[in-house]
Amino acid sequence: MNKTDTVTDTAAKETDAQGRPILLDIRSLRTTFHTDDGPVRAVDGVSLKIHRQETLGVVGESGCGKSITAMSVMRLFPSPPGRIEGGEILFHASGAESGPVDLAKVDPKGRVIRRIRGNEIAMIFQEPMTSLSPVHTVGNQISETIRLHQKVDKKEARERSIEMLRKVRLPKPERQFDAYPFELSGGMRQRAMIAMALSCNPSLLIADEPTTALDVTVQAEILYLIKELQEEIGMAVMLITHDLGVIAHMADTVAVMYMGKVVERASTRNVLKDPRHPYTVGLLRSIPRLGAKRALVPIKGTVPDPFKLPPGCSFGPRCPRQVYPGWDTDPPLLEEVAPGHFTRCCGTVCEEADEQPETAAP
Amino acid sequence: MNAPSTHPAPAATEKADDIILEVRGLKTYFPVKKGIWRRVVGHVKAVDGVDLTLRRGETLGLVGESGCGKTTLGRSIIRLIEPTAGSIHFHHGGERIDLMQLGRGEMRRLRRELQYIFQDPFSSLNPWMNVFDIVSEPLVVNRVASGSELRGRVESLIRRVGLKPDHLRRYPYAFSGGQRQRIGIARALALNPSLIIADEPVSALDVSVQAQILNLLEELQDEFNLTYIFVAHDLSVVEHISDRVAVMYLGEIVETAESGELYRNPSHPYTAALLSAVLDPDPDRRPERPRMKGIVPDPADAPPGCKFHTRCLYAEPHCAREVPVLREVAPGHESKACASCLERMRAEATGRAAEGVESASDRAEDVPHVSPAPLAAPVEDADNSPSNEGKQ
Repeated sequence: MNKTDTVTDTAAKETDAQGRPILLDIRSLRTTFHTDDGPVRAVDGVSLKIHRQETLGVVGESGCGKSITAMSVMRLFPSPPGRIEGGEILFHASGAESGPVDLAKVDPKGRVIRRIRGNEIAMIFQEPMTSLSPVHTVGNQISETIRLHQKVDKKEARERSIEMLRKVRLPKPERQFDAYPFELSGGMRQRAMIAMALSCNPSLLIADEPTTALDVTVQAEILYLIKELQEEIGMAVMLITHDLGVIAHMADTVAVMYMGKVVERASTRNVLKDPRHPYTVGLLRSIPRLGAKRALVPIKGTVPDPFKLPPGCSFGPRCPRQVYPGWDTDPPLLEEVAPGHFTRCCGTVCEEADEQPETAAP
Repeated sequence: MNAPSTHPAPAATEKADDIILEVRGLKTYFPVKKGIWRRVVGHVKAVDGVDLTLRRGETLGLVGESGCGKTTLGRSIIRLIEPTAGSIHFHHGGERIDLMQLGRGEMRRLRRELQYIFQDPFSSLNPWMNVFDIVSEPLVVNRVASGSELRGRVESLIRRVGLKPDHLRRYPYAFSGGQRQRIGIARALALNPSLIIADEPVSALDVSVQAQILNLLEELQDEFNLTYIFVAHDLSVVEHISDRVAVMYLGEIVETAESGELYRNPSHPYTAALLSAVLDPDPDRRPERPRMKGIVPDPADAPPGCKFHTRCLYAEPHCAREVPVLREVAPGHESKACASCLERMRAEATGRAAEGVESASDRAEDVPHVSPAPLAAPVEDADNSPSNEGKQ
């Protein structure tokens, strides 16, 4: 069991509750963008763990750093201005006896990352139209990936691509192989992109808002497909989304991010049923729920200017709990408030202490 | 956390006869042109025979998948897009005016009553105009106010939507999405309209901001007795804000009902499919795979008969021939589903409900499982009440 998010445990053989070995271990990652107006700490000490075949949901609103965290793993963010300034991204590649690779230290254009990216770790994006090339056919783009990472000839690559298109249930895969992305609908394009991402049987799929641009009905189909293929291939999924509904039905564990930090991390059930951080509570109260008409309670205020972050708790100025001393000077630490349930809130410990003095935190 | 809903009850008795808008047989067709001579080879029937009646002070939600014609319908109603046929009667100052018969000048004068809030707060504000110019433009163009009176009105508007008067000199780029949407709302309110068409006003916003804007729209509705047509694809948002909901499919309204009733008792297979696909942030409330097949057909080549029959799980041979009509299935609840289809749908729903209760209790721990499930209460209530089906 994890103690805190500090970088103390030696995690080579670490497994989760279901005995699944660790796959990706992000430790105190800091990614900063040095812009003309000053540095923006887009990812500010994020620690996350993904075990094999596990689905980790990363939730947060725009600008919270969830996409940059994923881009840091893939080493795909623009650099400069972006730079990884600290932390480790330990990737335990399959069959690697030499131990994990620290993706934070590798050359973003070098051989190591290029062997992993698209092969061991694949990624799908929100808007398939911008991530598929408009001037190449769908089939060409998939076989390119296959030929890049595996020693197969053109003909076999084509067969495998068609097989992938069939797997993602694109109708008439032989014909769609020669289709250009613009000829497909949004849902079909997303399927084609999934086919491309999964063509090399990755051990980790990073899905960045994969269904946000789609209609609810198509969304349900795509999520179902991802889940099915996940079981078939046995891959882990890092699912980035702002939609708690998607999280509820896809993720095993959830990390809630706010202003570049993980503010709460626990099993999906605990985060949604027993949220401890006021930001998570606020998110859950501000969404309308089908069949349960009630007043919406928005989080007051707006996300702070990333150039002028408040010195203490970055959620402090919007927090309804604010009463706890020191919120505006000392940034709270991620603490374990229940087994496996971490939250970064100066209020939680005090509140628990108020209610249950006998189990007060040390 | 059980604060009384801020949502105004549809005081039916009082408002029943106070009709503000009647749309009859509205059609908006777009020609499809092909070849070197740009010959018209067909039409996209974006809106194909829509009837709507709106009461003063109510909110009508329009939902459907992308491409169903909901935006075109919203725009056609206030003739931002010129409809092809039909009538739009707007009740104003004791008169019943057919908007379709108005000339340009008359229509322009009446536009003061009919305002529009756009989806994208980034492209709907002119980046070269500051907030004061944006919000005051309708007042200036219509010669409603000038000088210090104009200044005063703009300031009170901007305060009302939750911004500060010192924001007035700034330009749109300096604002977040939510703040921009507030500017768009202030602009729409400037002329004291009676009907506002809001086209996906919150779908580009983050959830916490979305709630702020939804609450603001509700407050403004009560304060100024506004009538809303709320166009959105998010069913839970629509259910939250609307008194009545109309579900659109390929340019037609296939079902309309009071929003709670529509949710409890969907009576068209398309509505049921849409509702089943909504993901609730409660891990116990499991979604189903949408109960329909295929994808939306090409609107330029819509299927004959019942337009939904190509995707309907209950389709029978007669569905491809007979064009269904909206008929009342319960008081105030109309559906285009044919009788046989409705019957089979209901029977299946009853069967699923019985089955769903069992499977849910069996697999309480198995979170990501796809199967039918009973409805659960909002998160705040979940801790106190284990049995919470159909809670309000």
